[in-house]
Amino acid sequence: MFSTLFAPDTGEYLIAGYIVVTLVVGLYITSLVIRWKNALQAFRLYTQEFDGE
Amino acid sequence: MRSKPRLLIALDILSAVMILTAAGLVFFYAPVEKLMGAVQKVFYFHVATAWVGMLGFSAAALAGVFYLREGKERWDIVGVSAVEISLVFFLAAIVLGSIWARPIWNTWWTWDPRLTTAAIVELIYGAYMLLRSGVDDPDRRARFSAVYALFGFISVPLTFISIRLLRTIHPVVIGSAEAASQGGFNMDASMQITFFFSLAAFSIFFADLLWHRIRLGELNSAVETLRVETNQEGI
Repeated sequence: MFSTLFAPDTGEYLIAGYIVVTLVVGLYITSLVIRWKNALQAFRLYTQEFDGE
Repeated sequence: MRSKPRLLIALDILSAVMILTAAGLVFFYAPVEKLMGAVQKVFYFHVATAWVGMLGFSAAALAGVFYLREGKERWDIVGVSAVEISLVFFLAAIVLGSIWARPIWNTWWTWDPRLTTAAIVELIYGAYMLLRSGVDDPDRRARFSAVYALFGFISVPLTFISIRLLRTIHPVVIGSAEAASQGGFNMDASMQITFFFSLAAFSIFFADLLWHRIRLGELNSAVETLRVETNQEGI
């Protein structure tokens, strides 16, 4: 019986796992980029106001 | 605002190369485990993401200690940055574990001591972020966060040792496993190389993200200061 054992086909779960990690980390990096751009825009806006005075 | 440091650019490149290499090792170098099949390879990034989670929660506790000692805003920024990144990676670790568990344990989730303590850790630090946003005064928020991060940290070693102390079905790959554990395996040399390389790659990736997040926190702080000054000028 044991000689007929072979590795089960669990490749779909492996792919799903790595897609999830890529998505979660990718979304977080995107959020960092967006927040950085927004903060930089606000920073430039305020410093321009100060320079204009 | 200072431009991006060269060291940070180098760290960006290094972490990207290391993460891609780690993924390459997982898919093309590490062998397929005989009993579990390909899903066993989820383990490499599952442990690495959980490691980053614990690394960040530990860094937040340390930053909390430094904040309480020195009272510098920078330590508050370090703390919240570490917790934010770790929440993301710890969530990824929990989801990866769940995906692994489906074919191996025949269930997505079970209230096993390790899974339960991991869920509690995620909730504790999720609450940290929510409660922070509810405190307006920056000094009070920072002090509260520092104390919270210190107490919250108790849950981190508890989660780590839960599979070594309690009766659990969660496997212990390094060290001796509980007799009831299901899904354990012995690592051969190529598995160990992939495993430790993944840990190193994610540690460097964490340092890279932390640096970026701290820079964002400092920029936000500068904007907040300018906003207050502008409002006072207006009055």
